[in-house]
Amino acid sequence: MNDINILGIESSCDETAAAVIRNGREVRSNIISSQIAIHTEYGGVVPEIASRKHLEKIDDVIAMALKEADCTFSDIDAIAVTYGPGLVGALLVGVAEAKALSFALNKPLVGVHHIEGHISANYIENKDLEPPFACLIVSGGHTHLVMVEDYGKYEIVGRSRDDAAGEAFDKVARAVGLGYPGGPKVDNAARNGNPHAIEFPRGVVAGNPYDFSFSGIKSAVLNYINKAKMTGAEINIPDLCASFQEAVTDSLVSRAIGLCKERGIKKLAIAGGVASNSHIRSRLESECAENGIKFYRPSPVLCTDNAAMIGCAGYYEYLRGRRDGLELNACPNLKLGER
Amino acid sequence: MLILGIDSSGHTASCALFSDGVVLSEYSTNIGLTHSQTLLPMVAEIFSRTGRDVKELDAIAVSAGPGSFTGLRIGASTAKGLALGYGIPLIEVSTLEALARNVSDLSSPALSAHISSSGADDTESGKTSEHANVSPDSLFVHPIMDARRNQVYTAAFLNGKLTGEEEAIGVNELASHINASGGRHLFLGDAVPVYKDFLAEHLTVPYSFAGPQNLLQRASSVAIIGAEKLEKGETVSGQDFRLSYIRKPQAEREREEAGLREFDITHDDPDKLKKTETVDVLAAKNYKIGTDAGYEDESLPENL
Repeated sequence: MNDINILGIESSCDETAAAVIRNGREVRSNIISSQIAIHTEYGGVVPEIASRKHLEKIDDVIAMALKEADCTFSDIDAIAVTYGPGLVGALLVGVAEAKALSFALNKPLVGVHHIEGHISANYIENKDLEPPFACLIVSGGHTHLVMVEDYGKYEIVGRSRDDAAGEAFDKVARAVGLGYPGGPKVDNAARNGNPHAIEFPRGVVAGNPYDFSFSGIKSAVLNYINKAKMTGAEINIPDLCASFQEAVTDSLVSRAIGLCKERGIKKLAIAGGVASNSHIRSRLESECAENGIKFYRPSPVLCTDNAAMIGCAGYYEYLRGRRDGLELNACPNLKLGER
Repeated sequence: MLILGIDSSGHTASCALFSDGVVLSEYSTNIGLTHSQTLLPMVAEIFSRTGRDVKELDAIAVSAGPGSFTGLRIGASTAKGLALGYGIPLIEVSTLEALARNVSDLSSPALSAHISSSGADDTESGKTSEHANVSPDSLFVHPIMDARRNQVYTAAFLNGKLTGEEEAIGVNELASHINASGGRHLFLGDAVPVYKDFLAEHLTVPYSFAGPQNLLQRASSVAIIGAEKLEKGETVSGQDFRLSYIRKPQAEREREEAGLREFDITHDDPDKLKKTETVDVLAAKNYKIGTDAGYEDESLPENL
């Protein structure tokens, strides 16, 4: 069988990325231009600035992906691009560039769901991982508990009813003056804190036992801070961060492990930017071990937005026969499993 | 010489093929569909209909602003993707200059007697002019594009030459500048329907508005200017291509209006910041992934 090389392109938020992936799981190059230094000054991602920077960097990033992979366009079999969900202006840059490139080179175009990319990041370092498995997706924009039934086939078992887990991290970090991005800042601060210093609610929702809610936890933290400020009480930031993180982790871990136990699933993966949180990783690892579940997690560099995961997801979509036309549009609210 | 022109800076999506002085084909639609869905299929269609091989393309000329931020980016990223795929250069064309080119034949003073279609009273002119070489017959072409917030992106062209600079300016201010400039004035662009009545009310110099056939952005004008620039060697690579938005992102404006500079936010030493200014904070890097199963690194690289 001949090698299949996919050029992956990702621009859904604040990372401009391109990668060349061989046969789905081998990363030949993984180029990222991160805008984090710019958005940090604004305390969060500014969509218009993100879109402008994507346009400036996208050619560089693609050229570098080919160069580092030691290949040319003629070695590429298909182009995979994130077309949603994400910031519409940001997505459009990658989508328009990928479509034009696909037309100019006469190479097939494969549209990829961003979250499907995150899930697929697990395949890259775990050559043995095959569906079916359960996957917990936690990022700045998404919190989903899904059953990966097959490549490209998902059952969404639970989702956040309100804020994404990453949003809660950002808001809490801002409230205690840790700044942006909240995930790594809270994670670091929590290392020296007592996770049981403050009891925050665990966000139980009525109806689906696998749905999440993080706005309650977030509000409880903000109330705690306001109350402390009013009474002049000192806030122990490490304790607060550790306790908040513990509450979020409990919500995530209990549902993920619960699903595996209920359905007798022996494989659990995590994905998304918040999946690089050290506490969530270690809690899941130990609870998986206790329950005889094999735990999969991507390296942090593959948890962040990147194009290697898009190339990987694109490879399986390519094998399944997905081909997109020149009218492919950016879909900012694309649902998982939607075509 | 074969040039592809692209414009999606406003409501119209347009592409044109220009070959050795001839507009071979031009497609324009203004039907409210997103450029993302219409532009590239039109480009594909223009090549299949004209039978011209894309391999013959010398360069791609694209509207480089001002205009709708998102619209400009769809045109630019489409052009960049094509240029990258074909290995050809891009040509940045000002949207305003291209609009003015729609009516460039009317810039000759000799023709000026025939163009007043608005019913404006020519005898009102004769005010002292700001420009030394402006005669009452001089025809200024003003592309005006709706920039919202009661402003337009505009520039003035006299005999095809830019006078002054491209700017975002209040319509009020624009009208008073024009009233002080003497000469005759032709307006075109998507702000004409928006501000036609206002201008008619406030202008004291002779004026007219372009008809619907010349009113909006056309890729043929972009391609024609592109051909001129190509002859002068004024091309750019996809990497170096930049849009001229004129306006900064709102968040950046607000930050500047609040008087905040970078070091106010980061609490860095301003001198230190100056020294590191040349560092490209967006510099792309290859984040290598191990090929064996396992986790190479349990921490996130610092710059991600």
